[in-house]
Amino acid sequence: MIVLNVAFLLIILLVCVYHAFYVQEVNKAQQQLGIRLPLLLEKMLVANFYIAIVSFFLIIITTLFL
Amino acid sequence: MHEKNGELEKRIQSEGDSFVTSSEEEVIVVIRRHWFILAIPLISSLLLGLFAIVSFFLVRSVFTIPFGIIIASGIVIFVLLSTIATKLIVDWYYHLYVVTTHKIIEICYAPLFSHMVNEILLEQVRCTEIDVRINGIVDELLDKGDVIITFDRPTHQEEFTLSQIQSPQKIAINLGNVLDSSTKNSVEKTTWLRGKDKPHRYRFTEELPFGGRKQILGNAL
Repeated sequence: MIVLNVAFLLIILLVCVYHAFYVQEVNKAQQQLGIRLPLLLEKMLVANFYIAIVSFFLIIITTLFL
Repeated sequence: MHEKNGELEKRIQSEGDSFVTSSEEEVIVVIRRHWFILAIPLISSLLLGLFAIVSFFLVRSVFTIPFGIIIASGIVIFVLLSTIATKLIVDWYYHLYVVTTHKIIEICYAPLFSHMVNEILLEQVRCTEIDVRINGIVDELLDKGDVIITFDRPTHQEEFTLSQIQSPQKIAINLGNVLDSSTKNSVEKTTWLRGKDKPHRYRFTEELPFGGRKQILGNAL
């Protein structure tokens, strides 16, 4: 079970790294093309990044309780 | 309704402004692919998430799984789903067609994955056909389809497809008007001449503004 949780942790870590780069790339695209994303979508992108970070810590806590 | 149209016009103008290169150029239309194109993968990823949850509960009914694992797997499924959904929406948003009085541009930008800009200068090509293609009942009901523009270049024929856009017929009519006027302009500016002494050779001329006057330049072929 701990192995499964560690696998989950790795997945979430990957998603965190992906989001960090993705948000930067989207900002670059907005500047290059001059087309801004809708505010809701922009907030959703940032929220996803924070959700991934919080999930990372949540899974660490659940692993500790196993 | 008028306010809504006004806002839409403003948004289209602001989105197309970054692609305008001269003061005479005007943005005709900025089109994205139909929302249904986005809805299909969004719904299928949602169904995939539901399937994962259901199968997880089925496994749980057979084996004993600790509560921590249930929470962790739920979190992972949610995070992955929201990541996929966001990527799909952003990719759809950044795939657009911009039509101005001088050019047609297709932009396909998938941040972190791919980047493609396809630009056609209308003054450099001659449009021979604008076709509308609507396939199937769903396309008819949703008023979505392709607009295929055929350009006749000196060497070969090229096709430019505005694929899966909303109201293809209206867009095709608008495009027809734009391309017709741009072709007329280019025809007015250029002339092909055949000399008496060398009838097998043609000469291409165009008018260029020169110090307030127009001067005819000729290029012997």
